[in-house]
Amino acid sequence: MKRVFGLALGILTAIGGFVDIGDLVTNAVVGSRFGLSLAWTVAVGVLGICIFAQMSGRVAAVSGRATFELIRERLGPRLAVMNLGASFLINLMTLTAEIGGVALALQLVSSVNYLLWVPFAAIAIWLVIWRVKFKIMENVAGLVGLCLIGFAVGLFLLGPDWGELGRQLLQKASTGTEKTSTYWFYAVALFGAAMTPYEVFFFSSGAVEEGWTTKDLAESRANVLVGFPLGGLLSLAIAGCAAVVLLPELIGVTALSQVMLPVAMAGGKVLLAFIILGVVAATAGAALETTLSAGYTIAQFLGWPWGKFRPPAQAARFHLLMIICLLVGIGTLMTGVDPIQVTEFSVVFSAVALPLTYLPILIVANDPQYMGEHVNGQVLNSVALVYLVIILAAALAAIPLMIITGNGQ
Amino acid sequence: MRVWTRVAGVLLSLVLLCGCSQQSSATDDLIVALNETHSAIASSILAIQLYDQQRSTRAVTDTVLGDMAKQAADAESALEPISVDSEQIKSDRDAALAAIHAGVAALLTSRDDFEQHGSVGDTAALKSAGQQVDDVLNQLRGSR
Repeated sequence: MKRVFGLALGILTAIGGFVDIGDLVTNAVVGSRFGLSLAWTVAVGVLGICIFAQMSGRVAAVSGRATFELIRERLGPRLAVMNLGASFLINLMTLTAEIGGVALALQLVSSVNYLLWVPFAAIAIWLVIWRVKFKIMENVAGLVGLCLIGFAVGLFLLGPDWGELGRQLLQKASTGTEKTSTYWFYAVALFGAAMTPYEVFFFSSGAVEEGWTTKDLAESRANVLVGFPLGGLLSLAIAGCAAVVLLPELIGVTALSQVMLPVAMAGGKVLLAFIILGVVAATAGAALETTLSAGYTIAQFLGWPWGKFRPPAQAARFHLLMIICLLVGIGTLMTGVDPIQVTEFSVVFSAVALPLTYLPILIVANDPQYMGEHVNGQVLNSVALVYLVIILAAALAAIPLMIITGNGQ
Repeated sequence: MRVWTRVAGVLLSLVLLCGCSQQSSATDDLIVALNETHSAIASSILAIQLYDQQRSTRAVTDTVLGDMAKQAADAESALEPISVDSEQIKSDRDAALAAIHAGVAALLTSRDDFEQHGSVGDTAALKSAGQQVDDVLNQLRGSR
């Protein structure tokens, strides 16, 4: 019974923890401009993150060491530093976007300008990392994040023309006044949002934090293979709400506040309250994950003691690094840069960094020295290789598309 | 060291390319600015309607109106760098500027009314500005 409860909790946490500010914004933008015609990208991205997250979780469970430690050891410091540089910078950008997301969500509750919330949000994140146990932190954020199911409820309450939504699913390339290049730009952005690098580093480091062993492999697989796709459905519900309410009015989403309009129309103040709570939890949860991921990647690369399972005094540099990253995030946001633009840049640059993140994981997961009998099977390797080709194509296309479309305009 | 030099070179090229990409056609820039203004006005009208129907909260409505007023003001500022090299472009630019300015004025009034009184008496000014923006937008799309 305890095991079933643990499994259910893990899956629910994975669903609630799947959506972050990148998914929220990108799906709403895409829904309001392209309807559901880019839903296939979410499906491709979710399958990709499932493949590589379960791979990195397995690496951690079998070897007892986090992915980044092994990447440095297996590939050597010169190659690993490229992986580190790309992942860390994207992670820092994502962390900034998540803090901004928490602040924007708090503005929706209070009317107080988000800039005033930024330092409080960052301090709250630091306090949670400093004081709260890993498991509690992960579960609370994930479970409260489940309030975002309100988007799916809202979509049903809006009573859309399902046939029309189905037609949008099958629609190709550009719609209405949008250009084909813009369509592909957002395809890459959605793919980047679904496959954000921090998710795999957090997943593998979390496995070490929680002391996973090979006995936990089935549970971790279930968390990923059930939780993430259901989280992906939440992303589609966000796009669906925007497609039903905003697209016909030619309202392009550029602010988090606009994402709330379809929700209010569907379920009034009650649903709105649920969704805002969900947005706060989802962005705060992702801010916790990205802050920890920043500490994990650098500390694991440099061989410093790391992890919340150690008292902060024993992992002082790990904690100091996270504080510095939070300060950088605060400093960036306080310049007045739009958090939504930071989010849009972070998902596109995520796509650029994907090959540097996922190729090393594939190499380590195929090394019998670390994995023993748990190395990747042939089928998994074939699918992963197909994904590497997709990832490479997305990475190469991301910046040219950003230039051609003027960042999706 | 050579690798880093190459990386720096690629980054510099990308930055330059990004800069060049900003020089799209004047008509496209006008259409983008008008689209953003249309979106801001339509969002504000929807937010006010939902609040009047008691389906939305004051904080959410307040935030939408503030965000959209800023968006329209940014769209107006974005017209400043557009250089005019023909009478037609000048005429289009002036029409777009007038429509967007009317939108900004209506949005700011709605935002301020809502902040001060907790309601926007009439959305007629917003709707009228929205219509003006749509007219210019359709005209420019037709001429493209």
